Amino acid sequence: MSKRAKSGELGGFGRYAGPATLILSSLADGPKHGYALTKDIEGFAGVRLAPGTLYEALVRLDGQGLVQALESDDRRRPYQLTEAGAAALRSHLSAQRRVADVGLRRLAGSWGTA
Amino acid sequence: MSDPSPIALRRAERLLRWYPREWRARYGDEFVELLAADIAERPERWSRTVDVAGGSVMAHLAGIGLSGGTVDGSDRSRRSLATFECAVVVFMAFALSMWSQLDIARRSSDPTTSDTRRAIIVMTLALAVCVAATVIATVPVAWTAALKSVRRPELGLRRPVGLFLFATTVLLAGAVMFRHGWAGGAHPWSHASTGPGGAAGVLWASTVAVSAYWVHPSMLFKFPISEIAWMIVSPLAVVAATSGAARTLRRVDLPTELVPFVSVASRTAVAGFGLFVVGTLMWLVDGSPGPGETFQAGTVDVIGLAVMCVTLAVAAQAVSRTSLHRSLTAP
Repeated sequence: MSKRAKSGELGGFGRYAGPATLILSSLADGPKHGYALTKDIEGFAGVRLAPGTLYEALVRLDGQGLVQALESDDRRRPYQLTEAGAAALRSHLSAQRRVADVGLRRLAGSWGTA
Repeated sequence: MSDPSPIALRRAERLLRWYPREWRARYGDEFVELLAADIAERPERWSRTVDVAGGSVMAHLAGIGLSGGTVDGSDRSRRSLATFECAVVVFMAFALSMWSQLDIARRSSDPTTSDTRRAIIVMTLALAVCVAATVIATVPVAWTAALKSVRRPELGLRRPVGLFLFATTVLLAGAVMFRHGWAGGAHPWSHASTGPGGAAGVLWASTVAVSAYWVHPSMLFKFPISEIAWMIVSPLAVVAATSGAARTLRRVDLPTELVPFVSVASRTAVAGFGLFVVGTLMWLVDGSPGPGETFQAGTVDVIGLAVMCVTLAVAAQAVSRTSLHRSLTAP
């Protein structure tokens, strides 16, 4: 991972870590523009990111070099995940999975399975 | 996704105006497309307006280096530093105005309470810290800017440096000229000595616009026209000098060896600001008017304290952003 990506890990995004994770996860299977991102995220996460929040997170990701704008003929500019963005997302999701695994294991031990 | 209606586009374009110009130039078109599509799908959503308002505030804060998410990430620290400089000027304007008047009052009569005496000592120490930190930071930065303005004309530094020098000269010359003015002689301390070197008088004259006389026009218009003119010219000179300095800081890449000096000096200045606020609170809480009411705190002092608290918060945030990025030097 590049030095720039290390400084841009999602932990430093504060309250934008959630939207940033959703955006990076959405871009993981290919470039998308703002509206396509909104619909995709709504589809897999059940969350509709409002335009202001989406772009606030997108600008931060762009500034950190975790996503990259692509050229476009119309006004809808698509974004794609960069190598640094993919590494940051992988690291963040792995950490989240460890937390989820521990939580689920403890729940199963103390409360049984649902 | 169908093409949004002209009405939705117009509403989206209106919302876009809340964002800074630089942000609009980079993201405006695509953001309007998204907003218009959202408006077409969900026409009546007050939460969208609130969300866009919040996003635009964050974009403005990012533009002055108080938050992440700038359009151009390469100069984030320089933006933070320029904002820090503006916060320092505003803080110092109120702090110097307050301190100089208390110091002059102290020279004509002692405060009756030890709390006020202690408050003045704390404020004096705090200002000494702030001034020392500011000088440590300013001298090498000013030298760098002066050298670059001569050696690298493509940076366009000559105009902002020239504006800063001109405005500072006007401010100093006027402050020296009016240092014994004491607001047209109508002030109760108009004949008081300004002390060795007249430093307190010069500081008072340079911050004379921080005054309650603005809301008492009948008293204000009794002053000589030259002093009223100075009360208008001096804040303009401060604004011009601050603008020149901020524009310079936005364009100058500092040498690597200067970064620790600037960082330490900025943090020290913020600590001094905090100490000065404590001293001001001690004075206001004591509330003793002293002989001839020369130590009486007024509404302008309470407003001054509020402004200083806000600028202290801005300065602290700007310093933390500057330290966070550590990219004051050229990328």
